[in-house]
This record gives sequence, C-alpha cells and structure tokens, in this order.
Amino acid sequence: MPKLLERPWRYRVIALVGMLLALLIVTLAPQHFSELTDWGYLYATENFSHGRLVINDSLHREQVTMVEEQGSELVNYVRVGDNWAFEKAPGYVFYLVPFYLLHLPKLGNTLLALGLVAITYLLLARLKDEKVAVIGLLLLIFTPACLSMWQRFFMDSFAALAFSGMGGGLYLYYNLERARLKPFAGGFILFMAALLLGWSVMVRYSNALIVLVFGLHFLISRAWGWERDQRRFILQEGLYFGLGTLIPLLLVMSYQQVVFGSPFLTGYHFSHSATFAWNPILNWTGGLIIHNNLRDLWVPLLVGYPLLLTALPAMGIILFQKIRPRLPGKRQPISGDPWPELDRGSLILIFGWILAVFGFYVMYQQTAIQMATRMPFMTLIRYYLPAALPLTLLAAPVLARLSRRLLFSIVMTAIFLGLCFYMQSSLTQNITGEPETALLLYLGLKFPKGGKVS
Amino acid sequence: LKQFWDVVVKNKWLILTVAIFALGHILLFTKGLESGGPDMETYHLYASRIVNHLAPYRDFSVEYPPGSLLVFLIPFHFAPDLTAYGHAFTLELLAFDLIGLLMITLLARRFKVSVWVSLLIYTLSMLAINIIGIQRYDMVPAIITLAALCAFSRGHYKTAWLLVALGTMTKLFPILLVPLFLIYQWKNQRWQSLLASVGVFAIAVFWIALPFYNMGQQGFIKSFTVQGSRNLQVESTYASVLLMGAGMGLTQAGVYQGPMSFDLESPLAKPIAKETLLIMAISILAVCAFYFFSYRGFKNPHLSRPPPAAEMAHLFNYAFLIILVMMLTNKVLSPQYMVWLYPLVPLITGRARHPVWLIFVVASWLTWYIYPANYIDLINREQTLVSALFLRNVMLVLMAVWLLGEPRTTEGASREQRRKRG
Repeated sequence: MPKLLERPWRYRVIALVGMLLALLIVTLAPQHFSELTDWGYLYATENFSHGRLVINDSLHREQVTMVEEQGSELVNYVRVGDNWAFEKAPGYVFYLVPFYLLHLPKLGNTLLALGLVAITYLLLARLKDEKVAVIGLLLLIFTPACLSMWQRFFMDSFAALAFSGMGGGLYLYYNLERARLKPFAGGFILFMAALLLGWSVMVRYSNALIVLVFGLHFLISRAWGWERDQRRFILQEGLYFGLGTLIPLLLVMSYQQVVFGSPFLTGYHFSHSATFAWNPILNWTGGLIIHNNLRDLWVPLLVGYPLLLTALPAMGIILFQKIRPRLPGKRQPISGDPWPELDRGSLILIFGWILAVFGFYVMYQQTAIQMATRMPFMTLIRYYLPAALPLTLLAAPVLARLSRRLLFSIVMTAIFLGLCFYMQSSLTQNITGEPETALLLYLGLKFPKGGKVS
Repeated sequence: LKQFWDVVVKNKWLILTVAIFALGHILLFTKGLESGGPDMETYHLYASRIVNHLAPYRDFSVEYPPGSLLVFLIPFHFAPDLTAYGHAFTLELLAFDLIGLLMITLLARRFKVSVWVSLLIYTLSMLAINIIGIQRYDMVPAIITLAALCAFSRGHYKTAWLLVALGTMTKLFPILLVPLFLIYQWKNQRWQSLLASVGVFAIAVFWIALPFYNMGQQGFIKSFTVQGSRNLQVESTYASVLLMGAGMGLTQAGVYQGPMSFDLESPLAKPIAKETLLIMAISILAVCAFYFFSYRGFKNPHLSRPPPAAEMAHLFNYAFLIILVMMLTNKVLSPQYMVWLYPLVPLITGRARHPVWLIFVVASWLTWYIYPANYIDLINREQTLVSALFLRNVMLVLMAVWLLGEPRTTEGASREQRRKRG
C-alpha cells in the first residue's frame, strides 16, 4: 500500500482517479439528443444492426415521423435512387452496432476513451515521464469538448478523436521505440497504428487529412533510412503500415460501392450539405469563410478547449527555443536542446496533425454561417476535437516545467472549467431548440430568444 | 548639450525602442480604435453644464468623484462639439497613456526587467482592452496609480501619497494603495515620513473635496455611495457563477435593466448583493495581511532611499493584486475595470509573471468580446457568452491566486538577477 504513494504509482493513481471521475460524470449525465445528428446516428445504428445499409421509403417515413414526435428532425438520411442511405461516414456506426445489440451503446465510447487514455499515458510517459503523462491525461479528458462528446454516444466526434488519437499516438510511440522493439511487436504496433488511423477516416472523412500527414511522415522518414541501407526493415514497415491503412480503406470503398453505387461516392455527394471554402447558396468564397470563422469561433473554441490557453503559448515557446540556436549569431545553449523529448520529426508530425484539423475546419462554411454567439459552443467546435491530442502533447511538457504551485492551480482550474462547461453543455435539453431552421440561418435572420431583459 | 548628447548616444537603443512603441500607441489611439461610445455623451454633458455655470453635485448629479470633472473639461475646452469632443478626449487619454509608457520604461529599468518586453506587454494589453480603453476615462486614474507607485518606488513618499489622493478623487479605486503604503512605511520604521505622507493625503483630499462638498453636500456624498446601492451586475463574479448554475439547471437567473447597468435577477442575487461589501472588505484585509506578513523575511529593515528594487517589485505585485481582488469581490465588474490593471501588468514580477501576462491579455480580449462586441447575447443568456464570461472571471481568480502565492521577490525581481546569482 505505501507503494501507491511513491512515484510513479502516485501518478498512476491520480490518472486512475481522474479517469474514474470523468467516467462517472459522463455516465450519469442524461442523453438529450441535443443535435439533429444524434438522431441520425441512432437510426443509422438501428438500421445497420438489422443489416439494412439502405432503407426504403416507408421505413424512412416511419423513422422521420418517430423523430418528429420527439420534437426533432431526421436529416442525415439522403435519397439514393429509390432508397435512403446514411449521409455520414459509416465507421462509427459499424463500431457501435455490437454495443447497440448488447443494449450497451454507452460502452462504445467508454472503451474508446479507455484506449485513448492508455495510449496517451503511454506515449507521454515515453516522451518525458509519468508526471507529464498524468498532466496530459487530465488536460485531455477534462477538455469540455472531449467530455461532452464522450457523453453523446450517438455521435461520431469522440470516435473521430479516439481512433485518430490512438492511431497517431501508437505511431508516435512506435517511432520513438522503433530501435528497441522486437520485429513482431514493432510490426504489430505499426499495423495497429495504421489500422486505427485508417478507421478514423471511416468514422469521419475529414480525418483523411490527418492520415495524409502521417503517411507523408512515414514516406519521408523512411526515404531517409533508405539511403542508410535499412531497406529490408523499411519494406517490412511499409507492408505493416500499408496493410493497416488498406483494410479500412477497402471496407469503406466496399460500403460506398454497395450503398452509393461507386467506391468513390460518399453520402455528401447526394446531400451537398458539407462544403469547404465555398458556400453554394450565399456564394461565399474561401477568404470570407475563413475570415468569419476566425472572427467568430475563437471564443467558442477557447470555451470548448481551455487547453488552447496552454497549448498555443507552448507551441510558440517550443518553436522559438528550437529555432533560436539556428538563428544567425546565436550560439547553441550550454544545456543543449531544451526539448529533447520532442525531436524534429515528432514535432513536425504534431504540428501537421493540428494543421490538418484546424486548417481544414477553419474553411468549413457551416460554422461560418452560424451566429456563433447565439449557437451553443459545442455545436460549432466539436469538429476540432481530433486536434485535442496533439495539443495535449505540446501543452503537457511545457506545463510540467512550471513550479508545483502554478502547475497544480492550472491543472485544477482546467478540471474545474472542464466539468462546468461540460455540465452546462450536456445538461442543456436541446441545443438547436430555437426556431432557427437551416434556411433562416442561411438568410442570416436573427430571432428573439428566451431569457429576455425583463 | 554635450552631456545630453552623451546620454542620448548611450541610450540610443532604449530611446529608439520607446519611440517605436510610442508611435505604435499614437497610431492605435488615433487610427486603430474608434473614439466616442455611450459614456462620451455623459462626459460631454457634464462638461457643457459646468461651462454653462451649473454647479456639479448641486445643479446636476454626477456619478463620479470631483477630480473626474477636470478630465471631462479639458477636451471640452478644445472641442465643444460632441464628435470632436470624442476625438479630443481620446487625445487626452493618449497623453496619459504615453506618460504611462515612459513610466513603465523607467520602472522596467529599475526592476532590471526587459524594457522591450514590458512595453510589448503594455501594447498587447491595450490592443486586447481595445476601445474600452479610449471610450472611458479610467485610463486617467490608472496612470495616476502607476505614477503614485513610481514616485513611491523612488522614495518620494509624499508625492506618492499626493498622487493617490488625486487618483482617489478621480475614481475611488486608487485608495486601495493606502494600506499598502502604510504597511510598507510602518514596517520600514519611517514614522516621520508616514505621518507627513498621511497628512499630505488628507490635506489633498480635503482641498479637492471641500469646494464640491460645499456646493452640494447630498450630491457629493451620493457620487461616492451610489455604487453601493446597485444590485449584482451581470458581469460580476457572483453573477457569472449564478448564470453558469442557471445553465446547469441548479438555480434560476435572469437579466434585467437596472438603474445603472444590466443586473442579475435571481433568488440568490439580492442576498449576495447585500453581503458583497463585507466580502470585499474581508478580502482586501486578507490581501493586506498577506502583504504585512510577507515582510517577516526582511531581517534588516532598511532606511535607504530609494527603497530596494526587489521590495518595490513586491509592492507592485500587491498593488495589482489588491485592485484585482476588489474587482472580483465587488458586485460590479464593468469592462473598463480592466483598464485599472493595464499599466501595472507589464511590471508584475516573479514566477507567475508570464502566465499573468497571458491571462490578462486573454481576459481583456474576452472582456471586449463580451462588451461591447456581443453584449446583447449575454443579456439574452446565450450559452457561449455565459461560458465566456465565466471563463474570463475564473481566469481573473486564477491570476489572483497566483499572485497571492507568489513568494517575496527580494532577491530576484528579474531573470537577469537570477542569472547573475546562478
């Protein structure tokens, strides 16, 4: 027992307590189906669990009526020929079906959370130490957006984070341990990393950009090794990585062939609802959309990810200190690289990962046309969730260097804010409960809302 | 002339740095930010009434202390028209801002911290505070507060107390420096100077207040007590907690237009509002007690003049903290209160220095986002705005906690000093 109070057990106990607390509050909060998409995933899971990848008109009408009776809308099914098909990527629905059939749909996200937490802890402990690992873990799981989307189990956002986080985390871990791992263990880790990354694209198509970043990193880093006569080993790695990514890719293409008639067509092709850098109705260009998103989303982002308050300065600090010795006239500091745990390759990968999420969604027209201050923040910022892990990887090592008092206050505040914003978001009955239809939003009309000045 | 030229040549980089930042501030005030705003009409009205021989506090009510009237009158002398008055008022604030910039340069050198970084933080803070900084007169008492601290740090105690008196007669908050000055002088066995300083303060307050008191006793007293009768303002710390609780269904909260601001309507609002004065008094006393006991470490109370830089850096931290604590425990936390802290932020020292800078800039930015940018949405209790307000207030509390836990920086106000020791 006294061993539990010693390092690193102390950190493991803190991590466990944090995880249990998060699990408790996520499990206890009621499921409100607060956005229309929650209903879409519910019925997609229901239909997939009966083997119905597409549904006919009468069943669709029946389901639409059932949702309308609950005071909401079923909007995520699109007409494909004579049938109706689920508009979104099918990966999360496929994953959820077994849990749904077991009448334990909450378990799906919980298992993903456990996997994400374990890999994050492992990676951060390998990057630096278990102190950094526990800081990063607490920052990540108590990010309001993370808790909130974990709780909404008929929604793909948490899975988009978890699959990409687990895959990306394993890939980074593999690269750090590459020289020390036995061939089979190393190959298995790399295969799993690629499989999880690939599956994350099946969960959310936009995660393809993240996979692209990892793929480029893999190609470029191995091209360096090719020169150094590691060809056989690199070919083996290529096989594991390729196989891992290919399985989900083939699965999703097969699904699209069956449902949409072509392996290259997605549901969005039939709904035209997701456009980037262009608004087809208002004829907005990319520049205007980016401008609107940058103008309106920074506060919702800060509320949903207080992590940004530490991650953004951390990014600046690490970059500055890495670049500083290379500036003309600057000598290498006596102590050497101030961030030896973050080598150049890992750092580029982490930055690329963040850019693949933020750089893409800053062009998302749907968030640019919403009245950001009038929309609940979670509706606008949940798209950015897959960037939560790389932000954590940057923030945790920087925070760990602060004095104990500062560090404690920051982590406790992060947990407190996470719980408050999560509860505010998850306890709200209906996020889109206001009479703001998509059309009226497009027209930019504003409605008087509840809670008037009396 | 040769001596002057030598000084210029010796400090050429410093002068260049200050000039560049000063130019940046001039551009920001004159081109970057929009003058005017809803309070400008009130300031203009006060000035025009005085010019038309109406007596303040007697013929018309004024919600600010008498020193503020001078701030309102100066631009009116040059620009009686309302629009032009707004521009002239901005120029007046710019003059104070530039004085602040010079004082920060002097103090940064005295505390041996980077002038360049201090001025950068000063500028970033102004950018974050945005138009609130130039549409309200709070810059004037804030710079007077800085001037008082500057004078104190150079050992000009009587001047410092005089400036505190001037600041207090402009807006009440600089009076918070009084207990800190008292503790410092008492702890350093400066009995004679303490008596003289308090005398200067009392005489200055008396001389400024007396004519206005004679003009209209009730109106004059009301200008100081009017704030006490207010309800919980919607942006106050207490209101943000209640709004957050209402968002979770834990309590009820609505917003209504009160006599002076948008206030909170809640079963808990009135009982809390009643107790805020007590909470504020206890909190301020607690800060004073912390400051008092933080002097235990000084083994040899010195009598040197000017006082050591490290002790002054410590005093600056507490000056910032005591104003911040007052803001947080007050039932009103208007956006312009951020201006009170603005000149002191660059001179925060110690381990929490960089986090405090970051938090202050973000909190000021959030303040602007809430008011004036999206105030109507806060009044309508939109989730994002309520969360932003809560986040802002939590960050301010965190800043106070950090400064309260900051050890006395007797030996190292700056990184440079730590390096020298190391």
